[in-house]
Amino acid sequence: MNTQHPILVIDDNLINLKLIRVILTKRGYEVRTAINAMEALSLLESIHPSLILMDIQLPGMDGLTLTRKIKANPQMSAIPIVALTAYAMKGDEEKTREAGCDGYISKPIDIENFINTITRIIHTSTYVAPMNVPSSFWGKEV
Amino acid sequence: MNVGINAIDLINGRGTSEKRGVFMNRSSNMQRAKNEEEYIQLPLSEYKRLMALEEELRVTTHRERERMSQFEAIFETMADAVVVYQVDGRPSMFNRATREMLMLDAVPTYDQNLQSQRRLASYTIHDEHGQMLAEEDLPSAHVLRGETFKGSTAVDVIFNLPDGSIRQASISGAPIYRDGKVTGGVTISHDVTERRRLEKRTHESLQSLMELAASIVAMPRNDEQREEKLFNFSQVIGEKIIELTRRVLGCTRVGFSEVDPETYLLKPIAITGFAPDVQKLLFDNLDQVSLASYYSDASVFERLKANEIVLLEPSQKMSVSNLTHIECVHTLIAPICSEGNLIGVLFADFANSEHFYTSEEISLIRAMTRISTLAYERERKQAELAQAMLELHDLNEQLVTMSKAQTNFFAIISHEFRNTLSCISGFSEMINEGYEQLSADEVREFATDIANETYRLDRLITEVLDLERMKSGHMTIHRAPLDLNALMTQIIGRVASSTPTHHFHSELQALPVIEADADRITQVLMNLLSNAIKYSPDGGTIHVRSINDGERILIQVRDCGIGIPQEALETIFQPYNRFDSERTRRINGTGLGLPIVREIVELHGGKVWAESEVDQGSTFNVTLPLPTPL
Repeated sequence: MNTQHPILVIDDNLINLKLIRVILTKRGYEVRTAINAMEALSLLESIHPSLILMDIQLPGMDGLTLTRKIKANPQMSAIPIVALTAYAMKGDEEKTREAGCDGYISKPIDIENFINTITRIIHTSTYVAPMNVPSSFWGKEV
Repeated sequence: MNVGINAIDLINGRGTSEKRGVFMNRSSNMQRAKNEEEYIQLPLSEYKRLMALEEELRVTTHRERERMSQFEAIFETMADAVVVYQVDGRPSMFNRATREMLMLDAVPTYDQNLQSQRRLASYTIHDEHGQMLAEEDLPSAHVLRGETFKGSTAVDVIFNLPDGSIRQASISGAPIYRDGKVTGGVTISHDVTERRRLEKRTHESLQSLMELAASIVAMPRNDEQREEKLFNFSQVIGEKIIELTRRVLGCTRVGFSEVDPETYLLKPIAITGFAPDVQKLLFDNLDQVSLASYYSDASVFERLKANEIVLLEPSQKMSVSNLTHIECVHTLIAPICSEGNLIGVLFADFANSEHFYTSEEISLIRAMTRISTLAYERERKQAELAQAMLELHDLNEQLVTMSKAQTNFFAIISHEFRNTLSCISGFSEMINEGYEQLSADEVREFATDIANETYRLDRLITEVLDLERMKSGHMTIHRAPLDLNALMTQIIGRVASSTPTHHFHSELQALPVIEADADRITQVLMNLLSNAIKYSPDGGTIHVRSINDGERILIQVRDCGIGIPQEALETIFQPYNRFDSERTRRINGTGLGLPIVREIVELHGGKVWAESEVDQGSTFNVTLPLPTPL
């Protein structure tokens, strides 16, 4: 487990946050959380996450705006961002891609699909070394 | 046999019985015959023939003379002016009507009075537009050229008389022929001065009315001006009317005033013809004067109300104030009515002069007041229209806002539902598939989370349904005995266990059992508690109190969070109206809770309100009535 490059989860719903945190830590990931964009941005000043999981519907600055902000910052632009949304309407996926998201997951979360997506993204990202992914992982090779 | 005739007798027409037979050439020998007696011998048959001829001559002459007198009489008594022209263009005869029309001296009939002729010839004649006629265009010239004109081809001319006045005449004419040649001409002039004057006045009146109507039609429709003076027909109309009254009727004093249809107070709009200080006095004081007391004769007011034009008698006065009265000689007061109400009044007179108003003048005034009525009604309609447009615009905006709110609402609802479902399915899946990896405590923990989320989802669904029911007025409560404190304790416990971020403190006084709907009260409490949590995002303590002050039950939920601004304390109880501020944007939620809370509380006979100070926290108060003793 690489505590230097945790996954940053941003969601204003505490129970949701808990669910994702539990899922990820059970799979061996280090997790940091934030409940809104401002908190996330201030966290990003001190941590270097391997992935950002972001609920699109955030109070205050919404998820897509935050995505654009992060992608516009050269120090953070390489961090992969996966959008989480509970409001799956036509065109949502499009919008997230346009804003710069590298992936899209809709709620309710299918745990398998969720894990596959984030591992793929972390693995293919140029930001962190592949050794971040723990090998003892449900027996699956990565 | 020869008979001697006294020539003198013959000339003088005195028939002689015996002395006939003398034939004289009267003309050549008249002079001589007076002095001499000449006798000519004639045979009797000749003499008789001569006598018969003489008689014939006498009769014919007499007849001629009579005819001439008749002709003279006709010529002189003709109403129209007749002038007979010689071929050189000079008038040879003209009748009395000509003299009267052109104000020539009274000279015996149709003598060739050179003086009058010259005067006649020296009058300047103009066409009906005021252009002086050239020699060859004079009617006399036309007839002498052989032209006949009458009826539709009659010519309109204006004579300028020496005293400066004018006469307008319609002239027909014809040439006089003898042996196929023009030997003279006749013109007959019909004096149309008065008629033309009336026509002109009528034309002017019509034009003024049309001008007035046009100015109404052209009145500003600019929306900006509309907003400033939603209702000001009077200024434009008033000034126009008094100007027209002055110009066309010739009135020296004219005033136009609005009248309040209920109080009958006057509001002068335009006044002209008074001395400046009087005018100022009128403007300053009239708006305290009621039309009812304005005229010394009370019947005037009644008649004005009945839309009757009133002519004030000289004895009547108009009272402007206790000290001032306006003397009236022949003053016309015309009411302006709309839909049976008196809305304005027009006053006109000739100051202290008498004036006898003709029916045309009254008609003109009447027409102008009718136009005023139309203008007033049009203005009012336009004002109403503008108002309606504004209201429509507002409604439209409201509709748009509501529509947006509804869309937003659905988005929020889906979001909330899916979030909750996500947790339920997520934790379920975790338990299901990761059983070996989870400790027993974790399993219990996740099961509790699932249960809580289920409740939450149920609450959400209920809220949405309630809102619908509330909107259509169908929400009902089912009362049953309820231990309020027990319920509160239970709910607080549940909330506290799933909210590690906050502290919960309760102070519950002893409460009697009340008749209430437990589910609904639960809804209220859950809502207030979750709000308290949401609106104090930095954690802290939430205080819950129940108080019995003998008159009613008071429940208070207090947080130390971000608070609510004064102006929003009411609006937060309105659906879709979660107060929006920088801070509350951090907090999500359906915005449904409080309206439903209010509905439930009020259905129970209670009240709910909020007290708050920004940054200090909020206190939500709910009162419920104490059970009435049986």
